[in-house]
Amino acid sequence: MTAVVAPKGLVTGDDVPGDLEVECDVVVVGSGAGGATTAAELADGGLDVVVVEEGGYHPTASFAMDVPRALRTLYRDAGVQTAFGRPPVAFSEGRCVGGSTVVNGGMSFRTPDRVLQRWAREGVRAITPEVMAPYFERVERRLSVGPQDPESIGRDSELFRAGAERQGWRLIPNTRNQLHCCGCNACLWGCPTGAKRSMLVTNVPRALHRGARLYADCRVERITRDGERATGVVGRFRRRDRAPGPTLRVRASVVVAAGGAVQSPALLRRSGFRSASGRLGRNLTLHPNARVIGIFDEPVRGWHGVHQAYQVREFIDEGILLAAANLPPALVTLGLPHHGAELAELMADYDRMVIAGCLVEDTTTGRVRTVPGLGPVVSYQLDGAGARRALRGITLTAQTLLAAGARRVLLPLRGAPEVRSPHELDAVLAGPVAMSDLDLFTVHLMGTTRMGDDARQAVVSSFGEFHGATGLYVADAGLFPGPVGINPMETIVALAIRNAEELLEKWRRHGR
Amino acid sequence: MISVRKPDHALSRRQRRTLRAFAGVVCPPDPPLDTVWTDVLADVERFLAATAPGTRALLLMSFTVLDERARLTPEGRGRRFADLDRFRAEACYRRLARGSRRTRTLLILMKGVLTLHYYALPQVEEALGYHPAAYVRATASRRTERYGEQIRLGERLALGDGPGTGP
Ligand SMILES: Cc1cc2nc3c(=O)[nH]c(=O)nc-3n(C[C@H](O)[C@H](O)[C@H](O)COP(=O)(O)OP(=O)(O)OC[C@H]3O[C@@H](n4cnc5c(N)ncnc54)[C@H](O)[C@@H]3O)c2cc1C
Ligand code: SF4
Repeated sequence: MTAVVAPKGLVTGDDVPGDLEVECDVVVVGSGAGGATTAAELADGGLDVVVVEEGGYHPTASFAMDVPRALRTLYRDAGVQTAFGRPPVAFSEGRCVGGSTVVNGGMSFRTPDRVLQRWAREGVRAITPEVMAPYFERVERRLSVGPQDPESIGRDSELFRAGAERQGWRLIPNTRNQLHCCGCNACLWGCPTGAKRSMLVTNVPRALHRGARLYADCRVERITRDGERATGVVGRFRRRDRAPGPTLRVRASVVVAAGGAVQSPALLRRSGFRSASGRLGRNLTLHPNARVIGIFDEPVRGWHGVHQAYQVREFIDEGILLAAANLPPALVTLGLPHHGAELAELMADYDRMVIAGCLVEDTTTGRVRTVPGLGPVVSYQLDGAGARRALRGITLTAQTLLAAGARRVLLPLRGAPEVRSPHELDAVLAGPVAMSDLDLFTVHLMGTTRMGDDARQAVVSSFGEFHGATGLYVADAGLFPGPVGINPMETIVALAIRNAEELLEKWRRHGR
Repeated sequence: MISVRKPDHALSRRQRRTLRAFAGVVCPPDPPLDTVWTDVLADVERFLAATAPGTRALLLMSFTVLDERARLTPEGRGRRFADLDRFRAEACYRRLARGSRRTRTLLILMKGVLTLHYYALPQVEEALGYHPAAYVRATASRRTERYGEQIRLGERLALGDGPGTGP
């Protein structure tokens, strides 16, 4: 393995000979969508910022289409996490410098107006579409959010579009945070061209450029405190061979937890912070997703072209989005019941597959608990309304594939047969479907440290400050009062800019 | 004498045998498992080491439970899965796959770990006509040829250095 040269200001676990103590104005835990943005904004505002990131530093040049390696190095727990319930919901989070933005699909959308208005009604100040518009503009400019160049769109997306259009359904071309993305379809394994404007290539270098320091391979074990005031963090480095390394102590006037909606509530809890609302770790929403595979007569080459070029928005008011999003063969096999020669026969059609899916807005909430020795444990029990919505999403996705010309469709329902026509689809769905037979997964985790001005209802203020503590903020997807209903990254980044602005303002007013 | 220490994440001999037996059933016949097993196993071991302790324990437990569960089946007749011949193993697997929801879940988990790593082998990908590295190279160089200047500008914008980068 060749040694990776880290940029100035970035220290990895292998660079640290012994225990380390540092001081700064603000320490940010996590370098993902919320953390890197907060760090860049605060460093831009003149504050001395330290970022501590549990994952490793993997630069663009190190990314190759090596799925097992990417799972081990860029994802938390090799990408295998579970929200317990019936059915369980498999989920994944990024764990590397840049967080989940390094492995995400790059879909970038403004928070829908109806969602912002709902959040305003639910007690969040200064969150109307008018207030948020300039923040979205900044995100879109900095992260180059825009439509795809036509040559980057693949046949799988075009077939899916045709299927939706044949049914008269509204569909949008996706806007993505990309700079002339070439459509190589490697987004989930680290973008090998740097076209995807993840935090790794935007707000992390911007923060470093402005003098911030970043400690990678270091897990923050707890936030230190003096009574209700946060005073810094204590973390432990991990060596490349995974052996535990030295300790990092950071003393800071402000601590920002941005570890994501699963890790942040766990960190806050193990550091002894409690919320009078009783909602720390509760209110988890996760946009259950289900995958449907269509097999066509013609070659599709789903791996030629960008990951998700269009979204069907016809059913957004029902809380359902549909899209085609290719996966490498290794991952296609994961949820399939086939084995041995049958699996080989099916996979021989890999190049004729369109892999599509639906995302549904939650109708219920789950929870993150902390269990000593196990870390955060996530539970999420789908309710009847959620199951019906997921089933409707699966039906609509299958209908789109059939309308596009798929000869066979595989459904994410345990025990369901393949369907070859709308008639067969109706027949399968006419029978009872047990909730626990739904095969669900997600990559959007939100809401466990919800914002709002009322400390009895919300964990943090409308600007992310922890109710009942001083010098403690949250800046990740945990802030959402409820599901955002679309891909969440742009909302997280826009909120991080807005909240950092408020923090800077307060700092200037009070000297900290 | 130099002692070669097993890496911490290495599976026990029994676990490896169990996995090999299940892989013989769940992985496709071509390329033959014997020719690729060392690579698959090495990747599976690395993968398990990267999972959370709870997940790893669950996965390892599922191998053992399924191995033992075979004893209670007519195909197993008291023998562990790892001790069955190819045909009995196949029949036993099918029976387990029709079993309780819990057994099926364990089976899907275990099968997933094995096929994930089998299908990530370059020769298997190649046989499916999937060769992403060459495609990445071709499209990436087309990108820089066509858009080089705009890309450089966009990259500066992200750092807050270019024109129009104010707040
Ligand atoms: C595969 C995948 C595809 C996705 N696709 C899209 C998409 O197309 N569009 C979209 O909008 N969203 C997408 N998402 C979701 C989106 O990327 C996330 O919602 C977003 O990145 C979350 O931001 P965050 O700041 O909350 O956390 P993250 O971006 O996950 O960052 C959290 C960081 O904190 C670190 N951390 C956690 N705990 C600690 C600790 N104790 N000490 C130190 N560091 C810690 C983690 O290692 C991680 O790097 C996708 C996600 C995934 C995983
Ligand atoms: S399709 Fe390729 S170039 Fe485009 S964002 Fe994804 S990985 Fe990067």
